[in-house]
Amino acid sequence: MNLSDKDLWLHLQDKNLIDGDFSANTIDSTPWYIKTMQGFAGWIAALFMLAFVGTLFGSLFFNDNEMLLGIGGLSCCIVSFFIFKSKGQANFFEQLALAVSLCGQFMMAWALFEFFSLRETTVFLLLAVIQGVLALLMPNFLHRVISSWFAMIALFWGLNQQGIFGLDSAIAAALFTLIWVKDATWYKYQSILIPISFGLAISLVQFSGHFLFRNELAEFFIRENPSFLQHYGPTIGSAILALTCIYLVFCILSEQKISITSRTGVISLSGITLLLVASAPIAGLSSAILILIVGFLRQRITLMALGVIALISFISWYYYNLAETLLIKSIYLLSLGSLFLLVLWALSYVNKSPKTHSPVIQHQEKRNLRKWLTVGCVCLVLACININIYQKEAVINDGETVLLELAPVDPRSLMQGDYMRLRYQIGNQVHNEASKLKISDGYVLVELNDQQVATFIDLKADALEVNNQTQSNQQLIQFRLRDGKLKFATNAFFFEEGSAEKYEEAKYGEFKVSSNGEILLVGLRDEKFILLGINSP
Amino acid sequence: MTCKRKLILHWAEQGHIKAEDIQSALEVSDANPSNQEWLHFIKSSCLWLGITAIAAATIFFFAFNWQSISTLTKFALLQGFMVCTTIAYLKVAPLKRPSTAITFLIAMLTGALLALSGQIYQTGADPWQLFAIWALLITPFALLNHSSALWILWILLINLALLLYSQTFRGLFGFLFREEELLAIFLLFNTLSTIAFEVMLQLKSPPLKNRYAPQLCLLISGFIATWLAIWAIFDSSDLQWGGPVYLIWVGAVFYYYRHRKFDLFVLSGCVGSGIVTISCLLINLLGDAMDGGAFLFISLVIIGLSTSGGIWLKKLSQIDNSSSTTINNSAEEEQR
Repeated sequence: MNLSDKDLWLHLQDKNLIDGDFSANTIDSTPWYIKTMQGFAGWIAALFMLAFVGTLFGSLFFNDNEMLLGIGGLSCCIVSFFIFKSKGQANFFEQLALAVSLCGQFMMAWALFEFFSLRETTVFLLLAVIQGVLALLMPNFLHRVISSWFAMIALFWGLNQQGIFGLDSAIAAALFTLIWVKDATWYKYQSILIPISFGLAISLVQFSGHFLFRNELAEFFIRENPSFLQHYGPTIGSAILALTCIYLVFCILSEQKISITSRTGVISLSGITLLLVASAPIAGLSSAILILIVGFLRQRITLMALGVIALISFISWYYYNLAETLLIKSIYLLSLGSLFLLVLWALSYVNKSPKTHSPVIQHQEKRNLRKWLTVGCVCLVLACININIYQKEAVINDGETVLLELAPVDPRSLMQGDYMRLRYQIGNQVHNEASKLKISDGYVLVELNDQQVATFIDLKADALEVNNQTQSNQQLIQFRLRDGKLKFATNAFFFEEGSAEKYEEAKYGEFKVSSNGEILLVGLRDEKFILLGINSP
Repeated sequence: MTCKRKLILHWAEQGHIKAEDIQSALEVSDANPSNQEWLHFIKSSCLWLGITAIAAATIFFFAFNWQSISTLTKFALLQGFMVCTTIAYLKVAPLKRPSTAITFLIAMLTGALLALSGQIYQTGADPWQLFAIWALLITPFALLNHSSALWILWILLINLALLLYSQTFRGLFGFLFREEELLAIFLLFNTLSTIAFEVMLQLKSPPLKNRYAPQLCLLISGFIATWLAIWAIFDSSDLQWGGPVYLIWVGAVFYYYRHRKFDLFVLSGCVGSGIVTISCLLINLLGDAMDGGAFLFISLVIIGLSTSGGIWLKKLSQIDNSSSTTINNSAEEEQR
């Protein structure tokens, strides 16, 4: 294909390891994004083809013609198989065959869902088998990737419907690893196995998110007498995953010709065991790391990128996982992170290489400047934030107290867990005036009585308009209108969980306001102006 | 360059290499990573995994909103951690991987600090402000430390801020902005960032190491431009400028990345976007006569377009490969 490939060929020829002539274009090195573009286009084309079949033979889809529909779909797949076989690579017919085959698969799936009901597991398992067979048979890279991916999704849904969790992704991880570790042994089946392994990797990336929900899903599907697989599925899955990781490390060590009993061997094995133990509570993590390691082992950047994406998506899924509180998750992640850094430090300590000093010194001065500029920026960030904190604390301590009367709504209906939604008497007036002026941000000029309770005077779009003219008993208050709701600072009053009934008597919201109208909610008071509690977000 | 192992196994599958020679072929060509490369890989994985886990842990911890710690203690904890991280930053060599990772941690901590102050004081500020300020504050870090991870974070933050901004002001007294105008703002912003990144890449010491950041910006703006085009096709009375804007945008991007700065990834995106737009155009044109034949026709057109697009892109990649290798070779010769 290109010169570096030829260099490699000639190098091998020198060593008498290779026969024949270097034939250009022997390998399909299409970048992944071109393949993705073609796969995506194939999908859309297949949908239109399905619409074509639907308009011509509409009755097939509705009038209990499952057999005919299924046979039609199957024949589509067979036709595309022969197109792939006869037409070779990279032409119109290849893409056509992909679309025809996808269309045929839609038809078969439709027929199966019509024949069985949607809730039956058999359909999903049958679909998984069909897709698996297609992945093995269809002589096309993209088709194999898509089919093996679909097969895993079908298996995933089928097993989940049976209340069996964790097995599918473990199977995918094990197969994936096996294919890449044994790639030299099974070199004859490269063109079949490699695309399948990519499909498996994509499904693993997808599952690394789903995996977290297995506990909640399991409770949803829980049966009276869980079967063996339902009960032990997650455990077996974790065991398969653990064995796969250990097997991978053994293979890497033997390929690098490192004895298991040597120092490096022992360190690697204990390292992977430590990693497995540490990531036991969250299985998605270990399969993501597995993809990353295999990607590096076989020098495939696409796989490594998939591993990184799996890791990132995993963290965002973990945030929303409801099984534990954020505190526990935080402690867990902190210990995991420290563990990784500790390993890093230990590795650097063990493998301390003699430093070469000469080239570093030249750039020392310039680099120091860069360092100090960065440190200066950190100081700037900290200064900004601390000034902000100081200002807010100053408003809370020295600001004018303003009480806003709450609107007479049953407070109990507004209680939501650990906070209370607030609405104010003054709100309707402000809302109407703001709608007239068509502004969403502005200031309310209020008059304060002896108890500091505010009444509406006027509305200003800009604080400067009135700042000089305010009398001693008048005060500017900043407001915002968002989604049709009026907000004075926040609309939520936070209290400690379980102390809700204390606030049922609330009559006034207590605010601290600075001279320029900046406003903070500090507490709630009852009708006798007694402080019920302070805002504790 | 193609991966060596892939080539060797491919040649073996084709029968050029005997089964018993595969291992020795792999060894003589250094197809497998060496022990040193493994060590390097493990170290950098540990570094990034550790840093990311700690950054996530910090954000999770303050999101938990622990009531028994006073507000000022929380600030002190977080700022203390940030100072410790900065000291660690001073200890490592700049522009190397550890320094990049630590800068990333500092940037994440900045976000956590902003979120914490928003949470404690409940000023009612709009959420988009948080992300906009965050992006603003980490800009110097990204500029100084040449880190693509930071630039990607920066792009995501700005786009998130824009998205939240549009959600805040949508449906306010009717509308402040129309939705298509918001899309145009997204498009404009991402295109401008792309231009900025491309200009930066031309500098003598560019503040970013690779092309991921401009590519991400182009991906986002490409989606928006295609969206505008589809909208204009199906509702031309509503959005007359959508079509021209799309054509100009795609034309300019195509020209630049085909002839000035070759980028196959961007070109594939252009081809994909073109296919989607053309099929939508066909659906709209055939709208009145949508029968089986029309569906088949559109399907075949898509297949034809994606095939020819694919072939053309592959040819481009070959031309680029051979030309870049020739350039390298001539450079080597000059050195001799």
